[in-house]
Amino acid sequence: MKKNRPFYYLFPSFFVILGVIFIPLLYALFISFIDLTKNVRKLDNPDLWNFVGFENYKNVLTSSEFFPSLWKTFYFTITSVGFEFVIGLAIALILNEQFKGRGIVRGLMLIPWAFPTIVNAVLWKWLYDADHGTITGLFAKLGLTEGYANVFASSFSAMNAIIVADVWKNTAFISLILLAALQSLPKSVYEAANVDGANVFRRFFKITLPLLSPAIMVALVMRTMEAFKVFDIIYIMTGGGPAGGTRTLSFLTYESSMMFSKFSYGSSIALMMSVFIMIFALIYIKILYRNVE
Amino acid sequence: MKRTRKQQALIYVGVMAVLVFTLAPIFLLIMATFSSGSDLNERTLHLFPAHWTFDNYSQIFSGEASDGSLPPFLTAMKNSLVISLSTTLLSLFIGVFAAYAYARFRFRGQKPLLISILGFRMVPEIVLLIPLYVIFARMEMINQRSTLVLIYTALNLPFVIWMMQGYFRAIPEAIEESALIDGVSRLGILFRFVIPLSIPGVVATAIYVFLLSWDEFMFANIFTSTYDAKTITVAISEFSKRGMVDFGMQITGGFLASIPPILLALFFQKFIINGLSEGSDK
Repeated sequence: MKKNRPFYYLFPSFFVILGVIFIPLLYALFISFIDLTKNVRKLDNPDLWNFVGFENYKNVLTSSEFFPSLWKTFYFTITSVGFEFVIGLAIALILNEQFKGRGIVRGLMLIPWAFPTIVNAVLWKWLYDADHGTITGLFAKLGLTEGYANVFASSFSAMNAIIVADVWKNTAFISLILLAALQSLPKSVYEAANVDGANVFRRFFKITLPLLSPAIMVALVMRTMEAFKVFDIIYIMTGGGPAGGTRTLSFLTYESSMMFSKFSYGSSIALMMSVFIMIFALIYIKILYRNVE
Repeated sequence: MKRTRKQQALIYVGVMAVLVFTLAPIFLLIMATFSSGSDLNERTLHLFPAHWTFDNYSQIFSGEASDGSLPPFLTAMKNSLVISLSTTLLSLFIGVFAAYAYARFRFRGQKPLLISILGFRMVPEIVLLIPLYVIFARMEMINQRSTLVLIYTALNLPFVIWMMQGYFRAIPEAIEESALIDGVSRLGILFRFVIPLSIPGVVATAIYVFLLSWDEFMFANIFTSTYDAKTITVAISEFSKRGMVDFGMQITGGFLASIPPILLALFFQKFIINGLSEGSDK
């Protein structure tokens, strides 16, 4: 009786996680090895149990859309997380200093982070609007573009426009983690460095950065995993366009399965994408374990 | 460390830059909600609306555009509220028991199980979208708020369990041992001592789950097609007039939809910052 106790405590969570995550995950694997298109009710059809082997994977890898999507996903991830880190670290360093109204500014900094992703996408799409957007207008006024230009007309500028929007929202997350880590740094180390006459830059590179590195790693890996899955903001801002120019892997999966009903093809893209996420996840778990020990 | 006046001034310049970066887009958003549709279509850059108006607000609350293409905004807000609150309560309720078992019981396979739970948190949602769509479509569970609650609960559970077991572990076991000797049951201990002692952790976790559920779009977009179930994120993505995006409505709706999460974040700022920093090294 006593031995069974943890089971009762764990059962509800096992039930939900198995039913909604684990079994569907296996089901996704199954779907990727059969040929499921159009009608999802077709699963009753015994023909369907004919496995097509790696056919779907082969089709994905030989398609003209997979590798461009993969590179776009990497471009988005590296660029946005890179900017989020640099700006986020700068904000954390500033907000760690003493100044009047520090508490209020720290609170305000949370706002973009709490902003719903869809609303963020809508907001920036409007700012970039080709007919009357504020940013488009500002660019025109500053002479950066000839009149009101359409940011979403070229793949390159469309992707960068999305990155700017993503950076605005998610920088706060990195700042938050780094600010918390900064506050827990021992003051004595800095005082010793001050006595030794180390200047601001030396102190930053020789003390702050190394001491922050565990928190930096956690923040970077968490953001990388999120950025690699980017979907919502692209769905609203460009719908993957122009001509697939902002079609990341998540969007390609969505487009194949939900718009063109190629469920098996979509599943194999999603599973290949998971391999990358798994690599990031393993790095993350490794860091967590090193921190604990 | 004493600072020179120049250094102090530099810090204030930095703070101003942070404030502009953070607040400028939101300022433009709020001003736009008070602008008329024709002003929004002008090619002039206004910091403030050319003509102040509440038309966007009255239109969004009346739930009707001139051509009846507006999704009922209040229904969508209510759906989001019901779904997010239910998800928060359900995942916390289920998660608390599991977290307690991981924190206090010893059983075989404990460590691998706990790590695989963290692994489940890493599964990309889009992988689950296709099988869940096939399963729920066949079970005719599309267009139900409870389906979304179930999905969100499953997605958030690993996080809840992981966070809560960390907080539970931090509570000294001695308190529980003396209670056990006094004949208080395990469940009694959990509800009378362990949970009350980890309230900051419970609050931080609850807010994360609420914010994530409020924010969710991909599943909500696929799993709801009627207004009875559509969430606010889906409704906002659909504001349009004759196939054209209606920015006035989208932006006003978006602003209103951002108020609950922003208020939560500002109000529970301390919990969130502490929760994040503790969560990141647990």
